Amino acid sequence: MLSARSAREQAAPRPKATSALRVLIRVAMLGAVAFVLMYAEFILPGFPTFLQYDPSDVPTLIGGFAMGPVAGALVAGVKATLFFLSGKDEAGAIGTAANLTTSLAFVITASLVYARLHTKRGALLGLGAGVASMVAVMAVLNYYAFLPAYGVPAEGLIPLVKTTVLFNLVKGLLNSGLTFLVYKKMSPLLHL
Amino acid sequence: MSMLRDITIGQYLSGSSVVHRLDPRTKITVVGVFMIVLFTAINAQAYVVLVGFAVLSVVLAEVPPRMLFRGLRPVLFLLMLTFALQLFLTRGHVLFTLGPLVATWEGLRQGIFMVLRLLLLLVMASLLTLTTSPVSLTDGLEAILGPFRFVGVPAHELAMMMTIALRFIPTLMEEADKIMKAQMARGADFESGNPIRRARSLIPLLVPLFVSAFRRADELATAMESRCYRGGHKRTRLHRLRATGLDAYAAAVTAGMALIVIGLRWWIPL
Repeated sequence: MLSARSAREQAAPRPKATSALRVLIRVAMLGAVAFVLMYAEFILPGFPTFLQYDPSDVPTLIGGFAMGPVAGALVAGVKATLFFLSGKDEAGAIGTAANLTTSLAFVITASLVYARLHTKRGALLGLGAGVASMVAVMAVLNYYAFLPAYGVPAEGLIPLVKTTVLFNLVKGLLNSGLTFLVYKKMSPLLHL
Repeated sequence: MSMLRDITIGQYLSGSSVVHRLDPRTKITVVGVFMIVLFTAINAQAYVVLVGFAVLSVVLAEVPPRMLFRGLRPVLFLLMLTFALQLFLTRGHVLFTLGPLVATWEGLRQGIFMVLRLLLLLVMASLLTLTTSPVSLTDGLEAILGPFRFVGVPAHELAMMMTIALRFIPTLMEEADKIMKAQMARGADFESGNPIRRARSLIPLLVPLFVSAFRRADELATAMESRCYRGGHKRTRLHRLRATGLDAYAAAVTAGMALIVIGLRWWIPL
């Protein structure tokens, strides 16, 4: 089954040679798109206002799917740096760090899976694994690093971490759904 | 969606204050050191030094305090929550009771420290972006990452990515605005419905935006390749970063502040 698939992939026309510069510029552009999309945020009902949904992980995931985990991680880096430079980060550097680790955990896992299994099923599996790892990584980091850095004492951590886990799950699923729908429409354009 | 009200990235306020004239490398380092030192502060004396340093920076930067605190509203809830949690959950000498909740002196102290820490973090980070343009911040980051080239950090490429991203944000913002208006004219609704509906309503914005971004990326790549761009090796620059005596003063003051705050951990433990 797997060998048949890889044989079919080899028969398909190879994508044109990609120069490093082309990848670099696409990464930069996707980072800029991600930053622009941060303004398309809205409040998810039932969550406190400092947890807002925004679709800025969609470009990160598209970058990871189209150009591999390293490119995806770089898009996340560009996005987080822009976020910091713009002064949109209301929590000094903590928000930037949280933003970066969220995206990294999501995109690296998702695009690693997709790189191994380059099919629709692989994309869905990858997105699922990405959401799972993002939620898990953020639960641990929120508990040990970010929330304590905000000054939340140990006794108050558990309920807040529970809220953020739920929030990250919802956000991750929404972003996965969007990426899946958008990536399908985009894919003819991506192979250059 | 309150998108695209103002197209400027960041909140840079041009000026000619002492802080504005510092080299971006100095400013990034100072803020970095400040943030690290901030997390080592455990007593009131240390916080006095840190607040003094921050106030001095703000005064020297000649930035209206209104601008500094503008971004505060969204974290206000978190600040109050932090304060309340610290106040009521820290054990110690009773300050007052509120129903089943017991506020303690230790909690009050802890709460004030935590709120101060967050405020200082926020103020210093904003001060950096208020007094340094994104482009010079990028230059500063490239210079700071420069020495790590030898362990494989592509400093120039990373800075080039940031520069390109900064250059295209206004363009893409305008593009997104145009697409949204065009889709709204066709009956698209970006503002109502449940979260799933709202997320789905973004698809007619996302697809054209990505298409346009990729087209621009490839055009730029072709343009750069046809002009023989080949990375940072032996490139010259129009604006060179120059450290002056001012930077030496800033570095000295920051080093002094850091030593005092870290020293206070041992001199006056708690």
